[in-house]
Order: sequence, then C-alpha cells, then structure tokens
Amino acid sequence: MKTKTKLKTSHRWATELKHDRANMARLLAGVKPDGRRGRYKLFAASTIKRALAANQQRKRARRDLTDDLLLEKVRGLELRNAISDGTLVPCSKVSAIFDSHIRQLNDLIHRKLVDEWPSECAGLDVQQIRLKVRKFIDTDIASGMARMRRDIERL
Amino acid sequence: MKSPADRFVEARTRKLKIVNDKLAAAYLNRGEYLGSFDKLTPLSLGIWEKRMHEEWSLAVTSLDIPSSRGLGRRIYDAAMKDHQAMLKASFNEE
Repeated sequence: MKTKTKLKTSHRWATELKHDRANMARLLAGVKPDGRRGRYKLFAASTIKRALAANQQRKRARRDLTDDLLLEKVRGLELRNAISDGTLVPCSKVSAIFDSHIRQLNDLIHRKLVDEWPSECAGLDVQQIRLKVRKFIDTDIASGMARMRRDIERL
Repeated sequence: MKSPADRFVEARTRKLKIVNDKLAAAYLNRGEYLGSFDKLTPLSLGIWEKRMHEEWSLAVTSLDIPSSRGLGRRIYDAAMKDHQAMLKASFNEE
C-alpha cells in the first residue's frame, strides 16, 4: 500500500496543532524543509519531531513544557495519519480474522485426525498414509494460511 | 514552584499522552504483523508436519480404528501445545 507523506507549511502545522505560529516558525527556522511549494517551505511531522528533540537538547537546562505538549500533539497527528493511510489497522479486526481462520483450520485438522482418517487409512501402509497427510498439509493447511494472510492484508 | 500556566500545560500533555497511548495500543502496524505472520507460518506448518506426517502416520498403521481415533486426539492436543509454546517463545524473543 502506498503511504502518503503529508507535507505542510509551518503556519499550517501551527494551525493544525493549535500551536503558536511564531513559536512554530522559530522552531523550524534553519531546518531543512522536506519539500517546497513555490516560495513556501514544506515540512513533515517527523521533521517537527526531530526539530523539537534538537531544540530540547539545546536548552537541556530548562525543559520547555510547551515542547512536550507539541510533541504529544505531533505524535497524535502521526498516529491518526497512519490510521487514515492504512499503515495502522485495528487490533480487534486482525484478531477477529485470526480467530475465525484458525478455528476453521483447527476444526478441519481435528475432523481429519479423529473422524475421517482412522477409517480411511485402515489397511494402508505408512507411505500411502504419508502421501495423504503430505497432500493435506501442502494444500488444505497451507492454502488456509494463505487465505488468512490475504484477508489480514486486505484490512 | 510551578505557575498555574505550567500546571495547565502539564495536565494537557498528560491527558493527550493517555489518549495517544490508548490509540497506539488499539492499532497494529500492518508491516510488522504481516512480518510476524510470515515468520510464524512455516513454524506452524513444521509442527503439523512433525506431528501428523512423522508421528501419526507411523503409529496409526498398527492400530485399530477406535485406537487410531484416540491417537488422533492425542496428536492434535500435542500439536496445540507445540503451537502455544512456539507462540510464547516467538513473542518473548521480540
């Protein structure tokens, strides 16, 4: 899946993060922009985080509380962007897919081992039984796993 | 002594951190979980291979139908235990 990188001007970031525009411009002054639109410099959220970290190192003696707040705001925004881009997916949906596929596969294996194969395999030699089992592992189990992967990839 | 403004900013940061932590905990990184899935699939197939292809197929030939059903049940339970141990080991490693 293609991930969108959201680049914005420092004023745009300040508005979105409800941060002071002058402070944001000061923070990003001298920082290499990630892109340009005409004469405007564009920055990514990760660049703001790096600039904040550098800023905090510069004034190690007095930690600015508003920097911590801005950092959390940027983190929240990055999380929401990752969710809308599809980089992050809900745990609940992934576990629902796992549960349903794994249950189906386990039921199938249990049915084969306990109900079907004991009578089907009576009278067969080891090689014939192994051929049967090998076919089952390579087709049914492996394709069940592949189906599960496809489903969780589609989320 | 912290000023009321500092306390306000601190409280907002704390609140936002809780919201962000909850959000981060409720979501999984697609690349990471697909990577884990790809790592665990061959291990799982290996368990079934060992339990069914090697053990069950060899032992079942000398048994009657009711005994082979019991053997099937035991092999299935053993494979489930192997899976649990494998998952535990994989996630402890990470």
